Amino acid sequence: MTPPTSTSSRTESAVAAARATLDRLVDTWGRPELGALGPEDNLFEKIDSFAVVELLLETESEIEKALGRYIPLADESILDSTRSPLLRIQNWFEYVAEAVNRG
Amino acid sequence: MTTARALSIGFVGNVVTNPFGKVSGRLADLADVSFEHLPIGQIEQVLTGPAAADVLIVHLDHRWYFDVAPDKGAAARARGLAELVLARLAQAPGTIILNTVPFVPVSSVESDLHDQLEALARVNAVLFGLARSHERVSVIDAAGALALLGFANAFRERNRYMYQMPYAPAAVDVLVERYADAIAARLRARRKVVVVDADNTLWGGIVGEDGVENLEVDNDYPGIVHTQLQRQLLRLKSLGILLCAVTKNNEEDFCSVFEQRAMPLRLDDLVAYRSNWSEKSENIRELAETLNLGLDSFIFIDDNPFEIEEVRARLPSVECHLFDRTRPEQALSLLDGIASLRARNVTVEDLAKTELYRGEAQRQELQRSAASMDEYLASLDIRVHMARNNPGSLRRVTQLINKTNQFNLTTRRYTEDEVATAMREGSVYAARVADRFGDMGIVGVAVVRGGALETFLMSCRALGRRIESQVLRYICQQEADPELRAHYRPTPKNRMVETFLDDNGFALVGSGPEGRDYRLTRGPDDTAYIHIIAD
Repeated sequence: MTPPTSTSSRTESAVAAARATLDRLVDTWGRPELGALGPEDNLFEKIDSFAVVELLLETESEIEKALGRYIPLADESILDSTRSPLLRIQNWFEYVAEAVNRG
Repeated sequence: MTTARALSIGFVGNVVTNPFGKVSGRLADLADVSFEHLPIGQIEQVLTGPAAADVLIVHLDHRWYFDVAPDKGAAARARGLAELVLARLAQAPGTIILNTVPFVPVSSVESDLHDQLEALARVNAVLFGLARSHERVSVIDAAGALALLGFANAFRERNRYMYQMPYAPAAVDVLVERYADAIAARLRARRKVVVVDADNTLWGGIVGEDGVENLEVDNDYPGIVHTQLQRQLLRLKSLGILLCAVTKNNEEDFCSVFEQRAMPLRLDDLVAYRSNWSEKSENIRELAETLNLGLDSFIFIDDNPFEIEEVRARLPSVECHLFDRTRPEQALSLLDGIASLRARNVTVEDLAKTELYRGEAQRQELQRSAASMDEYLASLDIRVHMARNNPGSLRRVTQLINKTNQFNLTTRRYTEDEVATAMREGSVYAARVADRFGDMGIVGVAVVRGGALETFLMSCRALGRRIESQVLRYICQQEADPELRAHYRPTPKNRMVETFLDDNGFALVGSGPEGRDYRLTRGPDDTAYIHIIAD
């Protein structure tokens, strides 16, 4: 698979990877109720910090597969209860897309 | 019907262990796994505390032992860890799994680098020493597993320091596989026999067509691929695996290769072989009968997909693997990758197995020449040494309990801890059998507790000589005070013992879906030619 090159296609790939990872982990965790969350919902308050770390690692891995290179997503804000992008699911997808576009 | 055993796994480490929870999925066919992630970083507290688990996985990255470079203090930290582990082993049941240190030292000074490498080796040596001296300790090679993946792909340094999670998901998967293998090796029976094809497997070419002198088996490519396979097979033999061969060849052609070509493998390294024009499935079935082993003890390796499919279709319990000589990178990692050949350790009996099975072949020869079965059995000069609650036999008894499927009244599995407990609470008998052809080692186990014969089993290699009845007779004499109850629990594999209790002086007192209950009445008849010796 050729990695996407334009900004818009990288954004789409990143968001798709983040969504797919979250869907997969919802199954792995045995937490089907999380699958019903919408873009405005707060994921941060529904999973523990270990699950946040797992989500981060798995999303990094999925993006590496999609884009062909490793892009770190870790940031001190992720586990911050006042600033975490996971406080709103759509923010998480945007956070991932921004990280990818930043390279 | 095999009842899945319950298995609890506890995880603790100086990293986030939650991703390692996937290990439960890898063991689903062996156990009903429950797991708990204990507080991160609380290694000492967990090892000295009350947390109970059948398996405690302690995962430590290098930061447990040193900050930036392995030094003398690192080995001291490892010894401190070993002391904590020893203290826990003394006070709590269960297995503890540790890991080698996944770290690659670097230095701008060569001598410093050498010092670091030695210090790192000393840390691992402490862990290996612990595992060598304590059966309940395993050490997975995390460093090796991650090196195969590539450390650059395995580590995520930002995540290590920001979230205490240094591993990429691919690295987690590799570690999970190692943990699952280490646990599985303690739970399941190891396959015992590798049956290997000859033409284009043991050597390159077809002996009947190409001639012995033109076969490719030497130290140049492609002959080296076959030479290396033979060396790997010999290594397996040294680890207690029996080697056999089946080949579609005239027997004299097959044997002439061993006579005329200098190869690592010799004909007498094979416990048995079949070189003829029969279907390979038939030959493997015959080998199983000759060796008195179940087909589920067999692994078959052949270069020909057709032969693989023939055996797979007709003998589904035989594990089949294709040897593709044209892809040496796969062919030469084939044997190392077979999970069912893995074991926690190798017992003296395992190592002596080739001779034991050769002895069995000699017994069969004697049986054919004897005038009657009784004359044959009497001529064997069978002696059964019965040991009760001998801690020295713990490892072998546990191994036998967990791998015997056919002559097994209840197929109840025990960990070493559980066998030790049974020794304290009742009687665990180990039956060692010897005859004029050699010592078979411990081949029978019985567990009696609370007036019940909880387990009674015999290795298939000792059957057919009425030893099992004489052993049961001895146990009845020792334990029937005031009564002895027994139970037969049917499984798909233990039909051979379906009437064993009925035939040996036990009376049926009830039956249900879980099997049949018996009580001792007159017990087994004496078999005069088998001498029991109480050790």
